[in-house]
Amino acid sequence: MVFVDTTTLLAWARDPAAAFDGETARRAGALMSRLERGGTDVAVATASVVTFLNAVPKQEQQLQVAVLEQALIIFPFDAPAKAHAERLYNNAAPSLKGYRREAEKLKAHLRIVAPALHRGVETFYSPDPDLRRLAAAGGLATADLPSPALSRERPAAR
Amino acid sequence: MAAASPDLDIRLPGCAPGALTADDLRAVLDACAAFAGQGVTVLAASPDEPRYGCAAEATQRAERALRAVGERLDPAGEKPPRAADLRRLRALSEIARRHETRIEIAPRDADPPWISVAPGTYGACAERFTVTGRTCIAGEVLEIGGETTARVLLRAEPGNELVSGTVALNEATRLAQHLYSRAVVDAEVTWVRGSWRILDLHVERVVPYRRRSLAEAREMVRSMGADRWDGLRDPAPGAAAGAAGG
Repeated sequence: MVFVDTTTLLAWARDPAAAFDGETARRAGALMSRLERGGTDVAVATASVVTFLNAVPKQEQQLQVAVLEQALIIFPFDAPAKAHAERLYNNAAPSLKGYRREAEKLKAHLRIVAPALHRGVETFYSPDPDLRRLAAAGGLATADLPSPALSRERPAAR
Repeated sequence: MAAASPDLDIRLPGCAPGALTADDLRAVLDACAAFAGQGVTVLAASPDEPRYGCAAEATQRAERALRAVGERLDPAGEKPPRAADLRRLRALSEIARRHETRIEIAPRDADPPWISVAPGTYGACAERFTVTGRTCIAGEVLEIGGETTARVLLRAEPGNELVSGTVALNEATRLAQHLYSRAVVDAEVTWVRGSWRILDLHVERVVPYRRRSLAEAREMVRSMGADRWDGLRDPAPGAAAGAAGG
């Protein structure tokens, strides 16, 4: 089982030809295709799904969740995840350069990383270096999104 | 090999002699053996009081183990108990409640007991050392069944933790279709603080998750409005309630 962040989830839903950031959309698409071919479970945090729903009409949101949960395992920020977030915040996060000044960003990132920490996922995928650093500080193997040309290669650990 | 003479007592002060059913006695002995980490044999039952003289296979090791478990099952203690010990404590507290007594595991003819379980001991421990909430669990369904209450045994991922609990009756048939295979469920779970091992669960819903359905799901969510993301930037992390970019 691998974990993907919000950016990857949003980029995966975009049309690379139409998106303002077509490159990220292509890389997210390449990653998801590779994971699907390999039969790998893909998990996301509930916080990421909530963000995903921001752009969707309210009347469609319930149906969107019903579709997403058929393809993705959606892990909430539950009690063990909160404990992991607290530990990471107290132990590792203060030493992560940049985060001290961005408390809101750190809190938002913890809500994404902590469910992955509790589940001990194989790889945490994100194009955001800060998020990868936070996940790595918690002990997760992390990887950037692959370029489409390299999508058949194995991800680099950490 | 059991010792020739009893070296520990199981006592139920205030309980009428002979009141304990065979099932209850078996549950108490099973718990005692599990706490001691070895076989425990009843060598003598007092006809006048509910006291069972027992022998452990290795007395000193049993004593150390029972003392350690007793400290961890103390609601005022510092270290949280293990999930398996809490389950046994729940069974013992229930027996103590039914017989309006305490269950004591003690050195032979001596006080204080290593372990003392009153009707309220489990509740006090659970309040201090457990937390309950909703979560999502993926795992293999090993057993499911029951006439009046549907119960399930899951091998939860990751770590292959064996967890058991109940299933909402309207979901039991659906979960049974996953017997010996993998299921993803939404459940109310009670965890042991610290270790975050699952003490108990109630499956509320079977999630219709299928591997290898990402491309299909992408097309569906795009057709239902997610294509709006084509023209939108990612929100800044923490920019809106519930929104979390990154």
